[in-house]
Amino acid sequence: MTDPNEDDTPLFSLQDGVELPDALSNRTVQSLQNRGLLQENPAPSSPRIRRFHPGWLLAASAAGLLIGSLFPVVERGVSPKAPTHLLVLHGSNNDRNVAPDEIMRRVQEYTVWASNQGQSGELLSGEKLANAGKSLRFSNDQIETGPLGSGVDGSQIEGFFLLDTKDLARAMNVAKTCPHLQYGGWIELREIDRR
Amino acid sequence: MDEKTMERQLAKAFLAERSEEGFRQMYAHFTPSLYRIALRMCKGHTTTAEDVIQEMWIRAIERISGFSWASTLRTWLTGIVLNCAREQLRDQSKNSPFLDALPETVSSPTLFADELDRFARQDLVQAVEALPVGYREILILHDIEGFTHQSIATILTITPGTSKSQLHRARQALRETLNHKSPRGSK
Repeated sequence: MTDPNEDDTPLFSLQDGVELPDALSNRTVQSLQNRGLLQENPAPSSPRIRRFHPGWLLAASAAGLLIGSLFPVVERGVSPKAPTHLLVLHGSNNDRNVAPDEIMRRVQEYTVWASNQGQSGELLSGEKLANAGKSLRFSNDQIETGPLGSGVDGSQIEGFFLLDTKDLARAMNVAKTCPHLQYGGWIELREIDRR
Repeated sequence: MDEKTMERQLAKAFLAERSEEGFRQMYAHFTPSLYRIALRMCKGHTTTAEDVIQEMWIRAIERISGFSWASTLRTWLTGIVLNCAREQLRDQSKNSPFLDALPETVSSPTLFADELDRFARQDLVQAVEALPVGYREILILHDIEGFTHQSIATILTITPGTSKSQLHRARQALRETLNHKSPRGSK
């Protein structure tokens, strides 16, 4: 028989409109824990990862496409190690039209990246920054407040990661692997002054 | 990061500690498409599909440390979800065998796609869900989820040639089912 056409997927549109029930993940986790297939608590030597979504996906989030997660970051205060370098994540503001499937794929990519860095011990902490905020300056003998500042290209800081690496070169190598660079964002790498 | 690399990193991250967080990462990555397959296999019954997904993850996590990477993780998980769905269906459903006896006819796949465009989404969903299990599996995997015949062969433990011929028969069965429905705009 001839190939009916390997690339022809005439019912592909039926992928749409099926939503994964929210409660199913918790039920599944509970089942696995009841059978002893999951650790109930992470090992103390490993930082606990949590996740959030960055500002450049707010539109998708508002549309219900994301359920509160994108960047995975390490819980504050878990690691007693002192950070050596800071990655400042600047946004691109050009991701409003990203398809839902692509958003979910990026969520996973950030998640995997941060998880791997956390396990290596080089990622200590991180946070996503909300859009709400003010700038403050001392001027004319008083403190003046204004809107959030932006970079030279108009981008705002969307989040940060704190690293513990042996030197700047290693921090650079970690930063180069961050998925943020692949999607229009840019990263400022700064060494923390310990003098 | 390509899909293969991501799969390996997700599995590696999970197996390092078997943590809940590591599992949730895998769950978020794989479950949406697996749930679609389960839901179509279970004829839209959400509770049954959820049971299938839950059982699938239990079996997968029990065995994942021995996974050989002879196929992709997604292919392996899809095989498990189909097994779980079949078991659920054996208990809950009596499938009509009449479509299995349909004569095989030669048709153009392009024509098939054009034909489907004439029908409303709900009619298509119902027609797929009305197919016998074997045809439903092959249509879901190939025509909805986009698996290749090679991957389907791995999932169903058949040859790629059998996958192709089964797809042909499944499409014919779907066409026959749709013949009993009115195309969009014809009423």
